[in-house]
Amino acid sequence: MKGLGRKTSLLLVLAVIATALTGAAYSLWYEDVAVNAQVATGNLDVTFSRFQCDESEDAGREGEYFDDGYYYVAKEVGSFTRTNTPSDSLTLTITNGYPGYAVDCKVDVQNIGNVPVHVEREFFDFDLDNDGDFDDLHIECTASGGFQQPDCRNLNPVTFPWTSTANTAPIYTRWVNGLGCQLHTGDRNAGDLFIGIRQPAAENTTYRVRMTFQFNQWNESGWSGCYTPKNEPVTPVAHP
Amino acid sequence: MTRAFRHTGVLMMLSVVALGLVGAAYALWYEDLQVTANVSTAKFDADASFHPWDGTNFATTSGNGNGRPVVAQVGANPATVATMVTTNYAAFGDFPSGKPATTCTGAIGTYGANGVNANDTVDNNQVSLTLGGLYPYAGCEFEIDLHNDGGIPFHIALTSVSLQSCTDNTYTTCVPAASAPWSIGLAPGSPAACTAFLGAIATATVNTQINTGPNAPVQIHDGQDLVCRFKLILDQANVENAFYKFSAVYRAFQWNEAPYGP
Repeated sequence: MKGLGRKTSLLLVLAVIATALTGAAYSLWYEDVAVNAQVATGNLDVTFSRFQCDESEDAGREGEYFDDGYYYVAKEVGSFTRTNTPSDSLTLTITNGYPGYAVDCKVDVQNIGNVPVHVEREFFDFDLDNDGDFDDLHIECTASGGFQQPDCRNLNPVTFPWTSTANTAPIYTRWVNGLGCQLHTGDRNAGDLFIGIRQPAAENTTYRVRMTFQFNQWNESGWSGCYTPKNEPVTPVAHP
Repeated sequence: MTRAFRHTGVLMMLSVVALGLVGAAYALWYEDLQVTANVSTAKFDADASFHPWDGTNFATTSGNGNGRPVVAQVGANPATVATMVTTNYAAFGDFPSGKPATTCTGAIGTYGANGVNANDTVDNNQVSLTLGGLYPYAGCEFEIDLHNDGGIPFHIALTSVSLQSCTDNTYTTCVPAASAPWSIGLAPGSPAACTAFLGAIATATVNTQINTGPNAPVQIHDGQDLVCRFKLILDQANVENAFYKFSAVYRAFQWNEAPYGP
């Protein structure tokens, strides 16, 4: 039995070695196929590229027409400060304002990303009771038929917003330009922001107005071009 | 005794000579039959192809080249488009002139170690797609195929799938990403095998034979092509300036030894 066991073990070892030597013959045939993908997304980026402001106080221009019913005065009472560009957020601060004082700012926006954009929405929100919430008045700018509508302002219609008593709004705010326009990479769009203090304004009071621009990627927009909505009235594509 | 043996020896020699002289008459009749077996094994070869977009059509022959940049425009009619699915396939069309299109390229290469995994010196078993400048509702359309260049029908299984988020366009510093910010839709009329082939990626079910139904494996015979056309569209996701690296590895194996089947 011992002799038989040794022979059996020897045969088993030989069988294992033989199997190993011919291993390839026993392997499953296969081949791997790979699908790889590298995906890079684009960049939507718009910034304010110009913020230049002028006030209605100028000693050398007394009596000249400033804008929108406001005139230059030869006083140095009011003042303003503004933040710098480029930036995604600008702040204009008016100090010692009074009825008849106004500031007019040239505001440019520029597409610095690589995805074309449309100016989808422009709107104002007002904090007139100084509670920090911009919930007292909402003005949505609109356009139709290739023209910006005159209601991108908080008084409409108004001929002389400074002196008009048709509305109790303490400040007059107006924005012109850009709604629906398309900006390719590097393109700029120039606009005009006007803020004037009216007769109903109270003394020693802070009023806040916030203007917001919404830029959408060109292929998800309610606009086909400047002031030209795809639907009448426009149905802006909202944030998801 | 010595003399007697001498006589015997002479007699034996004489009989040998005599037998030699008449040998033919005593020869055994015979004929040889021969069986020869030449055994050649079949070639097992699963390959992939990329069909470049020529601006109008996808080429029928394989090569490196471009895919088709596609985009959907919304805001009027329709106001929105549902997540990219086959039913919305046509909504994603060519870019209008003047708009910077996404970049879509594809290339064929070799995957795996030569002699073990790949059985050709240069084996076309890897499709590499590169997509650039994607944004929501914009992406690429590609046409690829999986075909049998050998002589043995094969079944397939997804053996690995990975998705990584990378720091830049060198795609070298990457970490696993939780989910892909894109959707894939197959062209209407695509074979069920394409749905199963690409659908396996979505479920990430590895080491399971890819079937089109119960006991219906995706099987590709000699000379057959499984041509799949699809669009990859970026979802409404906040992933600007992002870089992703994706890889899916399928294993084709001989039909009669299905390690993951049936």
